[in-house]
Amino acid sequence: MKSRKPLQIGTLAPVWLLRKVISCKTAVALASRSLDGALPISERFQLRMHLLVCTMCVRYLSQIRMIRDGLLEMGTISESKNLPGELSNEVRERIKKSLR
Amino acid sequence: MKRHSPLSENISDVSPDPSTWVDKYGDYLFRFALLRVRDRTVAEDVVQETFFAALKSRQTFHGKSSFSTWLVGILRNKIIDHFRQSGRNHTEEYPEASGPDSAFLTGGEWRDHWDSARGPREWSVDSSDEYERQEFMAILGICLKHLPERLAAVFSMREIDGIESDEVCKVLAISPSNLWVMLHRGRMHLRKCLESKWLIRKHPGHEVA
Repeated sequence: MKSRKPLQIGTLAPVWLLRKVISCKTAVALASRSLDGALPISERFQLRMHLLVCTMCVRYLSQIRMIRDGLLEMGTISESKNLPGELSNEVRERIKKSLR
Repeated sequence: MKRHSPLSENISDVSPDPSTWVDKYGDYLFRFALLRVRDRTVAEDVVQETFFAALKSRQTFHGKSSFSTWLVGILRNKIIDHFRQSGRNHTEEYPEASGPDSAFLTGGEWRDHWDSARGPREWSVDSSDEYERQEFMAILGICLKHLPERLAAVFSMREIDGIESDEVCKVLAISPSNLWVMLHRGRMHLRKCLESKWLIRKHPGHEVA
């Protein structure tokens, strides 16, 4: 689903109606689920209508997408070399000993 | 996705002495494990088990992939075994996200809609700026450490390693809807944590509620 530029709240009567279709709380739960596979058609429709007019939920969806992309990138091998942490000498020796 | 190994080598370069493996690949495997299991002791244990398993089955390494990739493959399985086992000892459930710190209105006509003073704020992350991108990733890493343990296991498998939902459900013995709720909860946690840390960094001195 592409993010759309939301309309200005309060300029149109239908905006109020659209925003009422589902609550933001429901919308963000659906938005999250939409990242894990296709939503059933009625939920997808409700979410789209809500996102047309709700700036904060549009922002929420784009932010959880950033989080998803960031985590996936963190998991790539090329990114692993930037991670902190090293084995202590004690553990290193313990492991070596276990291999003898 | 194409994965590159920072330590490329071919089969003839692999030392017959396993203690040299620990020096050469130990830190790399440890960092890999630490990102996923978070606890130092657990990470050390899975790395040790990985080297031990590698020693026992070294005949099965034919150099089709690099030695480090082969080790990482073993390590991945050890990490999943760890999640499978710790999943058995956990029975707590994660109910729908709400609670007193919720940013949703709790009453009135717009009940369950964002409280405009506490809802999501603009982050303005410039992803073309390498420095800013690194900093964003660092904060994301910190927030990941603050996730409750069971959510962290879900995020490790599903989000960091992109393992299929069905597989994650099987490993943790949870239902798909359970998984959705946990992912949703975790994203809310992470988003909130990231937002407060990011905005403080961008506008020092302005505390974010």
